[in-house]
Amino acid sequence: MNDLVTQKAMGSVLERFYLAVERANDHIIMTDAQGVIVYANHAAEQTTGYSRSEMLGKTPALWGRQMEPAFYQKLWQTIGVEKRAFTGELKNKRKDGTLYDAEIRVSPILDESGNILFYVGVERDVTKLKDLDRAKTEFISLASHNLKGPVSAVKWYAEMLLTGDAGELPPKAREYTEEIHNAGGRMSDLVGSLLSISRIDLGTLAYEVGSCDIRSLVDEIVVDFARTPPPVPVFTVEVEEKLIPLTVDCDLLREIVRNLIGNAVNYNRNNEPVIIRAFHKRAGDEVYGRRFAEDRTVIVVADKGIGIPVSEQSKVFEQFFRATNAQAAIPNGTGLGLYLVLRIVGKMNGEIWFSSREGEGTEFYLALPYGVKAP
Amino acid sequence: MTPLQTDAVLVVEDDAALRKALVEHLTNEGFVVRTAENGVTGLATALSERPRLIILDLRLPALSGDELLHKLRGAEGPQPYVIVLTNDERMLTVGKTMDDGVTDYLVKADVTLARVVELARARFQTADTGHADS
Repeated sequence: MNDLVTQKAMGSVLERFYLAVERANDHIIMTDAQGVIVYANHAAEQTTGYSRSEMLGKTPALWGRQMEPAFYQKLWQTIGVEKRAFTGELKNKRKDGTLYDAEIRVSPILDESGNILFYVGVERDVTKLKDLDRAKTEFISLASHNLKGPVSAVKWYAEMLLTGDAGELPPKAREYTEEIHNAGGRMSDLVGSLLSISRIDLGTLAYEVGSCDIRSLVDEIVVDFARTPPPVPVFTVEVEEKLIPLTVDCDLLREIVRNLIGNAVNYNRNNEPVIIRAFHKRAGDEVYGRRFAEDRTVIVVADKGIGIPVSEQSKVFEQFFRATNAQAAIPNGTGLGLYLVLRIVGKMNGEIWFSSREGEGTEFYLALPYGVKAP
Repeated sequence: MTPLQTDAVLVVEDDAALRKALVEHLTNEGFVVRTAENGVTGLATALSERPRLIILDLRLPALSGDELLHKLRGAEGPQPYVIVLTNDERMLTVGKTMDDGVTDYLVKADVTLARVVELARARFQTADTGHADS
């Protein structure tokens, strides 16, 4: 009797599972180990525009194939070789030819000995979300651009007051005007970073590939920093001779290196020298714990400063994140510098990482391929 | 041919606050300053007054800065030095490829007035010893 009840309940549980999948709002498919579709739910018909009979026996390439081959290679590497779930965003194509943005999650389902039984793919149409996100980014871009005019005015008038265009200022007035001037500088940094980030998001960031000599790039930045008010930062620059110029957008690379050096200077202590090294690494060589399949130019920026607390290290590249000790040392940072750096490095197909000990210092590592194609 | 007015700077800028700052600061620094608030009057003033240096915004009503520059470069006579002062770095890239006659490109939000003055002085010195005329 009890068994019968259980069996009945089980039957209904399985049925409910089936219904849950079949009527779920998200597109769900199952494929065999070769990627051939063996099941597709109702939502899958709606997102792709193909009927189930059209999908069964085919692979998801039926509505896919809109991305670079590398995307699908990575997908198969993850689910088929590493046997891990893959999450990503991609473009797909409906039966009627329209493209849509989808967020996909593909999980390999393994048997007890770790063999792949089948795959489950869940897809969500995120076209509307993407459109909204784009509208938001366009708004930020426009707002930032329009803020630049008033910011320029604030900075220029404060500068005029400080340089005596309105006569000698009483000490307190000078002090307040300096605050206004500094705030203007911060606003302009913030607006500049927001604008760059929104341009990367919108894909409108100008990326002009040229030949970029690391030695002169570093020298230029170092000279700029030497012009700042005392204590003038001290630099040790070690650039490997005959380092091949990189094929990248030189202005953007300068932005990256300037940011890293700026952080090293700002969070340094006792005016210890900031060390900047640049060298070549062959394919397969170890580069501070990483290896690359092709040759890399490596740029290292190291300081003996306050360091980054271990508990906060995973957040260093996040938007608006600032480490607690960094905030205490310099209250007014934007928290956008390293985020922007990470985004630009991504554009260059490079990698950036760091090692840091709180109270001892930080080293940032930047590895860039030689010939970087325009994205 | 009207010779270049050797001490004159023309500021073409539509933002009143920024224009005023440039005019007053440059005047205090000893320059003779003319102004225009749009591209059309900017071009007319450039052609009639023949300033030796133009500080030029790119986003301007009536006639954009790069159009102004194009017409100016097409006109006969001695050519002034041009410092482009804009808040749109993208237009700045366009400008770079467009005209080699521009001597400096500056982003307003990043540049100090001291730097503008420094560059203007440098241009005037080049003009005193070299040739502004093309």
